[in-house]
Amino acid sequence: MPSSNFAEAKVWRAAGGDGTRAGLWPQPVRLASSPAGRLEATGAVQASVVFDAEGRAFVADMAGGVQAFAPDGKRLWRTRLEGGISATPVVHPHEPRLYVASHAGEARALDTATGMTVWQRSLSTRSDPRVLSDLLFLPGAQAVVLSSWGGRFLALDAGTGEARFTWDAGASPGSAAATAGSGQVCYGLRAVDARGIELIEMTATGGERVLHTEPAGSRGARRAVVAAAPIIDAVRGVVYALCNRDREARLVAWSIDAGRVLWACPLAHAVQATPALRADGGLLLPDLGGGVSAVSTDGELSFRLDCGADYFLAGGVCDGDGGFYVGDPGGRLNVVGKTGSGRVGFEVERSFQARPSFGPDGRLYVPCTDRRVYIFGNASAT
Amino acid sequence: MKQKPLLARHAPRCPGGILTRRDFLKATAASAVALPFAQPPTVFAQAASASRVPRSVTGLGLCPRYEFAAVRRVLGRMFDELGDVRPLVKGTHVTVKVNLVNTSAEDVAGVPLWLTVTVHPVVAQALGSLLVEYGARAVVFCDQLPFVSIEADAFEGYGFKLAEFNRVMDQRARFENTRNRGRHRDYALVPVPGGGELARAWEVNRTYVDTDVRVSLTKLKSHVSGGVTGGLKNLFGVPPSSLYGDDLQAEPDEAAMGYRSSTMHNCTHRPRTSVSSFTGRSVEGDHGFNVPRFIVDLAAAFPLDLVVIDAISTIQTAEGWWLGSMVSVTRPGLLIAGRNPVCTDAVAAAVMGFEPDAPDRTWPFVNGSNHLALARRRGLGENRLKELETAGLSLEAARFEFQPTYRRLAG
Repeated sequence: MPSSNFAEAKVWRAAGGDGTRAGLWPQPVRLASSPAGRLEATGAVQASVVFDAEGRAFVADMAGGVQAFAPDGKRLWRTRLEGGISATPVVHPHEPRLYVASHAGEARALDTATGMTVWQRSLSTRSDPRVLSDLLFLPGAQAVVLSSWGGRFLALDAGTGEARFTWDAGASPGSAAATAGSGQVCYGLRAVDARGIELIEMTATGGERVLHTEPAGSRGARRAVVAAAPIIDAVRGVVYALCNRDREARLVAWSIDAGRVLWACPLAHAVQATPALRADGGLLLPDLGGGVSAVSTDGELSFRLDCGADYFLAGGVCDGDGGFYVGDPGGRLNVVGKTGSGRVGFEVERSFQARPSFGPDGRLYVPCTDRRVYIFGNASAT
Repeated sequence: MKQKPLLARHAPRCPGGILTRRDFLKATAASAVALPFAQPPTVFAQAASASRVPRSVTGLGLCPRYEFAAVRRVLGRMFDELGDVRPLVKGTHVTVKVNLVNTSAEDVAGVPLWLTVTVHPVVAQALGSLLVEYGARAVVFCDQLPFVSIEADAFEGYGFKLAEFNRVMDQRARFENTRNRGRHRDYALVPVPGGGELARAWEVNRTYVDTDVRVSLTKLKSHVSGGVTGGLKNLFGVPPSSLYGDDLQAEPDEAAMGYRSSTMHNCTHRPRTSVSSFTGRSVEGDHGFNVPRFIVDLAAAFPLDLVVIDAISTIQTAEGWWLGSMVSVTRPGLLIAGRNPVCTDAVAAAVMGFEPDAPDRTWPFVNGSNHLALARRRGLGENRLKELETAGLSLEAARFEFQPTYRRLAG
């Protein structure tokens, strides 16, 4: 078991940093009050920025544009997929590959240096092939895991794009899969009629196991928002799953070692945003009621800060001091302190609907629907 | 409230006129001479193609939050940019068809109706307040709502509180639930000019015709059958449940509150209007064929003087919670307004990242016909982007891509 949750977090190759989706930056952050730079996209940016070890930043947008930028902000290449992109791409940990997928069901592997297409695949479904779930690289299978509205999780061979395995992804899947360690298994959430919200374990050989089922609310599983990815506390060996029911939610803590639910914390509001993990193991959850809740490792609600937003659509990220950064749809970047204090760090006229990410140099990249990514300098960055 | 005689300024407000049942039947019998009720659809397709269709500027404004002063300021600036809204409403009786829906007891995962599916009351209040400032004598906000009451209390679940409206509207606001005949003695029978493709005429609550100025106040949304919801699609709420509702038996029923799925989506049932008002050219079970054509037949019969679109906070992929977790909340942070509904909706579709002249059965009209193109071919307005003009924010700056309309399972 790793000794920290940010051992691999220096290069954020996926939404939330790595396969754990924890969104935890190892150092304290002292954020500048105004952006030091910005990247221009071709459409609203609703996917997190991801990076490679060379410091390239990859920006995908709702007009289908995918771009690579150097650390100095210079655009290196640009390409376009059919359909908009709201699923955060993923970068291969060792090879120069960026994987992206669109609302038209197009999945591509791109060369990170040139943007050239390595492989391309159209996901065929009987209905709607759109991909909304952030992509995951599953090391144990050398596969890219995503889900489409065809109702399946797909593991695409990272080298060829061929479908290696598929699993049931439930109704209108939007939640990403998460993994940790050597990536022999990954975890996902799905809504299943007459059963509820299921936390599942999918193996690198195509197997599947239902770990836990939360009963659906009175409106049924098809009305439940299944958008937040499970996140993994690799230090404590816990998978956290957000299970919405009607207007409310339960945060379920699943022990990987014990193979059981440790606790379930009821939340007064449903949650669409993937939570973030603090260095002390606590969780930060922006909710659809416009607040940010903090839940401790034993499942107690530490605080809920009303941020004055109508709702939160996307998650935030934590720094090493317990600071939490999350954009709201009113165009405010909220900074939440460890004890529940809050302030607006920055404000624009369009909404924030994507999770921020830290670049390898410690700067914070905040995607915005005004077709920009705002880059904030970090005085604490080393 | 004492009012001046209606229809004095702009009458007739319906190009097909307002007929009695006897007149309608007479005209139908003499259709070859009096009214072209029996024109085949191909005539519509050709009618406007050779001639210039109406065009008007569409205003775009940024507005990130529902704060009354800010919404009013942005909307007022947009109206000034449109140029002729003040003279349009001065001294008039204004009817505002609001985009509400067939229950007020729902939400999208706890996010309230007005942030997702229906027009936010603050936008309606800001609009009403401006109309009063411009000299409107009275402003009636209306939609058909599934409540017994036809009075203001029917609107409260949608956040529409009459007292709050009147506070900012100099006591000139009124709410009407138009699910039936309401306070009126009879219905208005409104022929569709040119005979209509699926509807020859509409029989509606007189609120929609006893007026000087007709406004469509709507939410910008995706729509599974119509592709996009804008000022035109909002008119789908005009035909009353009492004559078109799913809960009708053999006769009209003033107590009916049902939706119009079987009459205007599936088209398995005829409405219980006083005359045979549908042409019979609908395709049973094909929402994607029927809904866009009914939208155009409504737009032809009830021309709109102004469209205002609440695109601040809404949903994408589909039009309401009834489509389950397919819908998701999104936040364009925009207001859109224009004098011509086709132009305004076309610009709105472009803001959403879609081609407003897209071929049928392609995104965003993936499940059927493009009603914006149908409307242009009927001569109602321009939907081709290169022919359209915007004011205020540029289209490029306003653009906010939506996730596309859900594609229905084939078969």
